[in-house]
Amino acid sequence: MMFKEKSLITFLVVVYLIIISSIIYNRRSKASDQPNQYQTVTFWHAGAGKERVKTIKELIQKFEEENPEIKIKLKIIPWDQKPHEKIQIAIASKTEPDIASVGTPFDQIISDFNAVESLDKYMDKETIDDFININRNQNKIVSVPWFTDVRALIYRKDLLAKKGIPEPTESWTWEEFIRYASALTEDNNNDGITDIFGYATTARYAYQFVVFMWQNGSDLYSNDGKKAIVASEQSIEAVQFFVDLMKKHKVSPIFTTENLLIIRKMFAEGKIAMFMDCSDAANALTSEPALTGKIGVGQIPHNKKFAAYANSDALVIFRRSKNKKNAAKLLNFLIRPDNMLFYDKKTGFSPSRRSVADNPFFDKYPIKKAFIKQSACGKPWRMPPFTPSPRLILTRNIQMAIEGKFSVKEALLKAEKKMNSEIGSLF
Amino acid sequence: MRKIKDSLKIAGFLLPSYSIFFVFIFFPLIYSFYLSFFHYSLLSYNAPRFTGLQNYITLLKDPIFWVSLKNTMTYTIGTVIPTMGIGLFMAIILNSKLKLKNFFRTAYFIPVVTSLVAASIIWSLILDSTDAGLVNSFLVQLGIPPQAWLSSSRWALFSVIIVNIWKNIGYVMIIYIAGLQSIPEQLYEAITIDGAGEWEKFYYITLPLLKPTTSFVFTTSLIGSFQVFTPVYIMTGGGPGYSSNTIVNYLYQQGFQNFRMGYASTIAYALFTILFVMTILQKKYLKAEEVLY
Repeated sequence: MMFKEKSLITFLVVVYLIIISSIIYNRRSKASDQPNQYQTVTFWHAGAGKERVKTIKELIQKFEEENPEIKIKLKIIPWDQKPHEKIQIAIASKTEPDIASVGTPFDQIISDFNAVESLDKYMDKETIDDFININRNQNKIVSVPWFTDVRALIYRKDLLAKKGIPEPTESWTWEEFIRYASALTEDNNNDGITDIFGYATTARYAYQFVVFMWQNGSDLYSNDGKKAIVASEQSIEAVQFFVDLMKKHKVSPIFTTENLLIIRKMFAEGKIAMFMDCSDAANALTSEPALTGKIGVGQIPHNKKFAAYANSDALVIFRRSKNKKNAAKLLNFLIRPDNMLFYDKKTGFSPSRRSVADNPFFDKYPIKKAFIKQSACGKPWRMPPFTPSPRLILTRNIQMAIEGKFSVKEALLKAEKKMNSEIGSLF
Repeated sequence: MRKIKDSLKIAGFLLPSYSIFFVFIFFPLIYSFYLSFFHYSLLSYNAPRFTGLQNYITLLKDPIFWVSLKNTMTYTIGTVIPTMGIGLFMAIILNSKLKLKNFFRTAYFIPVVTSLVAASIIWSLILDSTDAGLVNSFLVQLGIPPQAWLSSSRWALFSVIIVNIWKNIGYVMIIYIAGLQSIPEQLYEAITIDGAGEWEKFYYITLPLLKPTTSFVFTTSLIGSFQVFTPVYIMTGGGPGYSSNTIVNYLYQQGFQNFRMGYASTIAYALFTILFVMTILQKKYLKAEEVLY
């Protein structure tokens, strides 16, 4: 009994000693980092992918060679590990990195809270003017798009050729789009179940219908940002067009919350002729040996206007960074034309700078070229200050409209009311 | 001196677990209650702004909260009762002299130890709304059109309920088997001598003596069901519309997607209050009586 008690106490003492020595060791190792503190730049990258991570690491190695006095502490956070939540927690706990690559429009939200530095003073005018879209908030540059991830029309060349339909290398009108999508839709064995859909879309993603709002001359918010305008006549018409693709024309499966991965899979199987997606999807599909030569990328349709959704991974420098100068050095290095070209060549993303987009390298790759062409009318959505993204409000209401719970007009009126109540609500 | 020594020893052993409890449970519990009276976002550089009862008033008027609460209630009723019923039924079968009963016990318990994230992903593929999904491909073979199991408000919540029943049956079954094995054999022998059949044995012996087990299973299942998050998040995202949105999913959306941590704390405390009241009621009406043999 005595022996047992002594053993337990010894065990307890050992556990405490281990804990205390770990704390001391951790503090000492942190202290030994002190002399280098201002030379280490912490860089958090949202999003992973084998080729992408490899490319980023190569770029960072090159940067460190060019700037031997600076060391980059890179942290890759894949999207499924919720990098934006990690950044929120880092801000709350005052442990944010010096620089980060975040998805839009999260850059706008964190800039509303004054968490990021205005980048105007770190970039020269020539560089700023070279960007197709640069992210501003209250007239200040808050983030720089590292690349553009525009949504274009991905199509099956073989299915279009079979029906004698021209490839959408130039944007079709809405009417042409419906006509061609209907021609591509097939019920092979007349069993009442569609075997091939001309187009596929899903209300899980707001951009899938917001582009039609833009194309119809409407927007999410008024120009002064004081009110939501999603229930305007043009918006209703545009969203009705989107819903009709599924319900009236039946050229798309009825997809309310389906993931784009399902659409990509059906597309690869030849069950879908066209869909709207990003360059990542086109790259993945073209790498499939069975689809060699069958994939094309064209321009999404237009109505009153040409418009496409283009988000990006954007670079921000945090306001609390003690190392802004070096962080800015890294930022300018990453967006330097030669490095942007290197990054885009390796990863397949579209450049966000005009000078890079004009590089003859892209002429050899029609798919890359098509995305670049589409990005000329691409734009992200922005919210009024201190307003959460309207994505959830829009998608949930439109999903209910697709399900017939209420009309498109009612859905948009509900969404507009909710969006109006949220304008500036985070302040 | 001896007493002090003993106290120090006890404190020494308790300190690690109490530190973890304090840091990860007690402090967040108190702090989130405090935050529920504030306008606060994790992104904010400023201190939380006191708004009094505003978050609670907003919550009472928030239609999405009420829809989420209704869905959570439906989910709880749809999950707890069938899980307990089927779990008990299987426990009785697997507590008999069945061949391969150890194999079946293990097989039914596997879902309990399977990661809920992995299981939800696999079930999403099984219930895929296209004819590529396992369930739909089976239906198509039978001449029935594919159903949107996860993407129609008719089926979405139902599908999540089915997955959770599948996931939790093994746990309930094992607890009931333990309860069944604690019932003395003599009681069954006595009632058999009195001429009772299988149903009488179950009704007059098994069921009453399982009351403490039932009470435990009911309380833990109820709390677990009210806190459902992962299968909804992965399988339906709370949609279509808000048809499968639950309270914890709504809390998450408000806290991390809409950046309203103060309001999310209010939702958390609404959930806490509901669970507290339910546990009190359950304690009152399903009080586990001490059983002496």
